[in-house]
Amino acid sequence: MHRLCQPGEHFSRRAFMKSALVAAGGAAVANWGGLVNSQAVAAELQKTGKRCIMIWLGGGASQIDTFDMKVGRPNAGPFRPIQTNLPGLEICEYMPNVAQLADKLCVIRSMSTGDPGHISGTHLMHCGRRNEGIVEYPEIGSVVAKYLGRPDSALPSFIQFATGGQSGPRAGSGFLGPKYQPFRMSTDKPPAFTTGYLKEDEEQRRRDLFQFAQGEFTADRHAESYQAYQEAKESAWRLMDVRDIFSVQKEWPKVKDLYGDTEFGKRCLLARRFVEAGVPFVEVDNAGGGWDTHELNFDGHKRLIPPMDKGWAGLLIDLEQRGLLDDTLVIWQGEFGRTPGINNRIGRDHFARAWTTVLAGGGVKRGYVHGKTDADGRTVTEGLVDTGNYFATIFHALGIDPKAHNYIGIRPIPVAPDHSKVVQELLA
Amino acid sequence: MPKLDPKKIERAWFLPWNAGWTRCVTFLGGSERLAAGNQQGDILLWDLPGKMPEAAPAGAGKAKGDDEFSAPVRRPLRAFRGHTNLVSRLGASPDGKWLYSASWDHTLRIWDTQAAAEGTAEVALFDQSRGSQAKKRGMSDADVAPVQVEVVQDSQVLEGHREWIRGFSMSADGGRLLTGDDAGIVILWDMPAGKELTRLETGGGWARAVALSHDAKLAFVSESSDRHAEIAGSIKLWDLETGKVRQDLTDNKAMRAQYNRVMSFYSAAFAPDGKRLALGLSKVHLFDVESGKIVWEEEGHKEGVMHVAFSADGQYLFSTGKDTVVRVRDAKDGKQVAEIGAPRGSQFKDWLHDFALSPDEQWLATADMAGMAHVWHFAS
Repeated sequence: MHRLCQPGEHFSRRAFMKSALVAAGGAAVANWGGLVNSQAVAAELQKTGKRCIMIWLGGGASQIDTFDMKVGRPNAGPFRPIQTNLPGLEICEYMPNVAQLADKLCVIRSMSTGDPGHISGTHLMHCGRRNEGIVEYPEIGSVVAKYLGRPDSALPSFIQFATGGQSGPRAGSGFLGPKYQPFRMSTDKPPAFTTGYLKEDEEQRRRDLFQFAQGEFTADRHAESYQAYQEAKESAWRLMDVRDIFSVQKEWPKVKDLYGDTEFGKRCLLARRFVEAGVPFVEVDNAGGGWDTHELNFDGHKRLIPPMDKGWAGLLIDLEQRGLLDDTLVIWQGEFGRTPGINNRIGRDHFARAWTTVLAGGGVKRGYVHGKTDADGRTVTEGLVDTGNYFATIFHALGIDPKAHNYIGIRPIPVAPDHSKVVQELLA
Repeated sequence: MPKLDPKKIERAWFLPWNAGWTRCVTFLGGSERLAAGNQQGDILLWDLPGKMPEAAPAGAGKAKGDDEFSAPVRRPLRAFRGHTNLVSRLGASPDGKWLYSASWDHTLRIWDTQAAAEGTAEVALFDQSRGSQAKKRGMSDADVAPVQVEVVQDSQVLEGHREWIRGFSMSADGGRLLTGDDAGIVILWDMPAGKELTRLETGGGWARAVALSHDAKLAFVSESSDRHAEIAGSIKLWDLETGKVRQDLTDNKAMRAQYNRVMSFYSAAFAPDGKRLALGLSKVHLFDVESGKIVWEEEGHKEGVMHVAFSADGQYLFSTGKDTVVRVRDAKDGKQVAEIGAPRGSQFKDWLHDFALSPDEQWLATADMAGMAHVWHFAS
């Protein structure tokens, strides 16, 4: 497997300005993503305050070693189950924190998505569709940003921690256009642009000067590009005004025990800060593709699960305590699960036929386990959830009509794939 | 005792065991009894004749080159049952009466190998695929049928650990056992009494590779880590009389350059004189204990050295791992002097996890993940 370098790893102030300019320019292009058609819908949805955090387990975590344990079976592996606070649900012994929050979880043990490739699976589980090449589908964060993002917000509507690794590259905003591109971060450290190289009063003088000069220049010049440039510049300054959001330095000592003193814990805290500040979609990468444990699966999962357990549990607790969990859907997933069989490198390989994802919070049932797999976890025996239905359910839970259309030219593209249905049993 | 000559090696016995990965082996007392453990928590005991088979099995000549079917099959006699998770390492008292096992069920167990059986159980030796292969090579249906073995329960369960026990090393006289677990708990035991003597206060990393000096005065502990772990790896020498760190080798520049903060060693062993220490991870490294400097380091196990051990005189260092062979090196300079077995040729083949030299150093046994153990003989 190769490591894929993400643009977010090199994000700078200049890069931000450039992308903001493109985004503002994109907004002015007629019918790009059917904006005109659905702006009214989006405006209504923006008032709901729904948000979403996706915890991305790049590489694919093993369902049998986490939420769908096969105790006593030859393929069970060495991990032992512990009882959760949800009667009848046992999960891996290395998730004691999440075990105490199982009554808030909606565990889907019957995911069957059919794509065991890293790149194609990552696309599928971000976009809800296979990569067809002809149509550049947007990933879920971009769709949510479009419908739930607030145009007047100083913060981006879609923030993505993408650390690369063995998972696939992200699709970005696709046909929705650059306005909904993810704002990518690679570490918990504040992006470089938030550290101004001018003093505050100098920055303000510079801002005033720009506004004056720009005003003079555009007074009798009305090209859209001038306006786009000005909007981009203003957008960047607005972001600078809220840059403290990006720094966990002050808050971290108070909450590090809750989230676990790890990089992932810090990302989870940042995710909470972002959604609290109104960002509708945040994707938090966990372990940079490290879940791809073809070799020494149990050593790998034993190392990865505890910090994940702590950070995820801390996030759920913090959201609940702040009254945010009812409106924030937390998704826990990777691009697929791992094989029930253990290979001769003590590993588990890619498996997309019967695996597990977990939802929690806004819009979904609490303390619920959906679907079943057979004795060895090789196939779904009850409550199969395919990709289309899964995404339709998530969009529905967020208040977004899965059948709503966006357009490429005159071609309507529904938010969730054609013919997909909301899985009603998953909804609160 | 004839002098060990690792260049003169021949395959002696084939010990099939169709029950998951065979993870560990040890000789008991002499060269005539062997125990192996697997990932399901079972341990089997075989009697061995102590001499080479008189004839190669039927069909041995049909093989291209050397494989397990080149040697006659030995069938197990006893099963030691009690562990509920993978058996990671085995050891024995010098007289072979007591068998010691470490497990991922967090326990150490002591077994009286001569205890009366408490029942019998059926053990499958061949799965369908290997059974068909065996029959093509001249074995009968009866040869590949399951066998009945006596079942023996443990004599004592030691519960001082609270995580997977992977570190395991015995003193030369067999009276001391050092064990380490994934919670970083490292304990020195008085054996076979099973009494805890010393507990080291480590940093809490996985104590996967531990080594006890032959006189049981010095311990090496590798607390492993990796890029996702929160505890930085370390490699330290501990004085077991004081229970304190004697030397911290973690900041060895050469090791740092190779492993950064990841000191996730699989195996470690002291030379008999206690002056050198072998470590296995992606390479085999030989340390000078006093100076903390690397004497030599060699590759050769496809970046996975699962076990290392010195010969009794310290002249040779044995190692095995992911390339499914045992390599024997001159301990002075690391030059390979023998290669035992054949590489299976792919990263997707089963590994060898462990090997054991018989006390008289005339026999070598290997634990093969493919569900078997092999016994080799060093010709005098």
